[in-house]
Amino acid sequence: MIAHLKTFLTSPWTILGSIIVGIACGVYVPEFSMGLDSIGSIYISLLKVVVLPFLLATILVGIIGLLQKEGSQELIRKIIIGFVGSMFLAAVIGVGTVMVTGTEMTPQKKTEFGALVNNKDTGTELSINLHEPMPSSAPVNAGKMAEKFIPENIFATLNNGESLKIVIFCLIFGVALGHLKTDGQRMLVEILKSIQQASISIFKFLNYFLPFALLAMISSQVGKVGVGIFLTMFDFVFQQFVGGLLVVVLGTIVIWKRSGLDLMTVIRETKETLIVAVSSRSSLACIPYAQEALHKLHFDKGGVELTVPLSFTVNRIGSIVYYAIATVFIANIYDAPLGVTGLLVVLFGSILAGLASAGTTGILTVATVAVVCDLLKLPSEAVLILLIAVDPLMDMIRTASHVHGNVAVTAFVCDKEHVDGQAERVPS
Amino acid sequence: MKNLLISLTLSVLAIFPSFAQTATSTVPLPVDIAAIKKANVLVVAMTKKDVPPFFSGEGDAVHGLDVEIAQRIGVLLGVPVQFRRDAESFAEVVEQVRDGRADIAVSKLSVTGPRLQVVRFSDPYVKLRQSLIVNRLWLSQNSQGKETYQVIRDFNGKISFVKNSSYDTFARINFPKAQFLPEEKWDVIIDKVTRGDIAAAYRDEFEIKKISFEKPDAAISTKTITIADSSDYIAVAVHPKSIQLLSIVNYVIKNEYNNIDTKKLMDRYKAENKDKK
Repeated sequence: MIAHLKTFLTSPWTILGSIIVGIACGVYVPEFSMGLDSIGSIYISLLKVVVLPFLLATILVGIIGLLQKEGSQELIRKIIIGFVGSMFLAAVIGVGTVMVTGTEMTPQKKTEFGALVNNKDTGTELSINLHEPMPSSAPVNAGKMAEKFIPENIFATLNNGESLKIVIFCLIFGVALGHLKTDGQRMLVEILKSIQQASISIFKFLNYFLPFALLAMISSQVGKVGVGIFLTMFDFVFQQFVGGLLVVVLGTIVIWKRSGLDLMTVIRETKETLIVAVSSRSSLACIPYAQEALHKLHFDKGGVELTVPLSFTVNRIGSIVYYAIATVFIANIYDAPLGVTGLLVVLFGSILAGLASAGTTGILTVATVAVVCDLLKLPSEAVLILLIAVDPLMDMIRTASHVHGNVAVTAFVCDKEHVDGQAERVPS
Repeated sequence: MKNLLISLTLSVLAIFPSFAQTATSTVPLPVDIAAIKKANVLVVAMTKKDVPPFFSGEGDAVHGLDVEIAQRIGVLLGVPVQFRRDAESFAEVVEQVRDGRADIAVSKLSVTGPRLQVVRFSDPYVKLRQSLIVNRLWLSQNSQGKETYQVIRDFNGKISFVKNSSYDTFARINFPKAQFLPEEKWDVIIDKVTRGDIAAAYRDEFEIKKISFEKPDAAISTKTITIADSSDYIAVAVHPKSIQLLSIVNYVIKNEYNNIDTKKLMDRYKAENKDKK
């Protein structure tokens, strides 16, 4: 009986069903659906509560394993190539998508957007003094940018759940720990491995509740935002969807080629990570799923354990695609022709914005589009209101392409593992 | 004795009203009031163009805040009100009062330096701040890392405002580096700033706020900036010699129209527009 229930709860059909029911609930009984919001939040919180210890354990184990093994330099070299290459590819996909699906900005659309901006916010108004002194805001410089990468107090960082700083700490601490040749170190590694395993079993248990959480999360999102705004913003939503789809398809091809297994197996193993990405909109929550999927596809355990957390936090593939498309959308609204130079600026600007967005979530991530807009001298403030309004859906697409893209990057970086545990080189 | 007292009191009471009446009829009225009484009409100047919710509507159908104020003054004086609406600009309204072609101007008039030299202004019945709508693209292209307020302080683009309005004066004082493009029609100015033909349009915060209802798409292409340390006082103008009339106007404003702000004006404007629809 229980075995049947478990199979039912983890079946892809059940998950698909809960997504459809979720959307239907959001559309037809929005008030009730918004009440389900807390169920979704509880689920995400439960996932995240184990993610931090898991993240800490898994990166440390990964680094120590790497340092004690031959060919660590090779892995680091490949990680750098993988990151730079994937960021560039993501920007190309973003720019390519808008070039292929290019749409026209009509005065009617502009009026609709204007009405949306008017309704959503009055905060775009500014009050200034012409003669009286104005409070000056602290200038943002490179030092300030670097600050968000550098952990000052690891316990405070853990407390605030600043994943980027945790990763940086783990890298530093892991290298130091890896060079110790003491019993203490070996014991610590064993402890960390136990934390890792315990976390995984919690994730697996939580998995059974995924269909319910999915229903709650999707229906409350749909209920909150409504469908109307997506119709107005259809062109933009569609372009983001195409961009995300391209990343997922390209990513799947990379994983498939690198794994050497058949395509159906690859899809079957990576599907769950993708579903969690879409429903939770938290790449952090996807880390354990992604690692398990990559283990099942027989990628080198040590490499995966290091590359997945690192790439998920630093290598913002989803955001880069998003910024490229959003910037061209903004340029279109302001009738600012970009030309070849402009598109090149979008390409590299998006990568820059992607790097700048590391460690941000939600609205802050969306607002980082200003980095690219500033380079092109485009105003982003008013359109930002529109982007934030549709972001619940955009965040799903962004997280999905971010997670799947980085699973592909990990597949590119890591070698295949023999059944007996020996790493095997796959020609790239 | 008691009867005598009562009859005395009664007779005093009976005499008193007639006594009061003789006081007003025999003592001469101040010159300005006497002239209005003699003409038996209060001529109120307003611009030809409607400025809702201050005044709008043809002929007798004219209505709005300024119309109400004028009518209250008329009631106090005990004369009917006649609206004179042939002035092409706000400046012309002031001229009509200066030349005695109208008794007062209740025409959403701003108090400005040049106007204060030729007419007397009442206490303000609306206190507004000055505002700009700036083309967003122009703003991003001219920011060069500067804060928005700095760009506005050193404003050097094309700025437009209603010709011969108070903003014609304000613009030249506040934005000396700008290129001035006075325009007859406010609608034309808004179109130009949304299209990006000009960098900014300059008027009071209420008129700027009104744009978002009349042209919602303007929110995408333009940004509204209110100048907090500025003022635009709306007051009634009278001839420099009409001192008594001025005190009556001030009395009406202080008693009945002393706390009208942008929000109240906006509510009035929305209610008027709802009726139209």
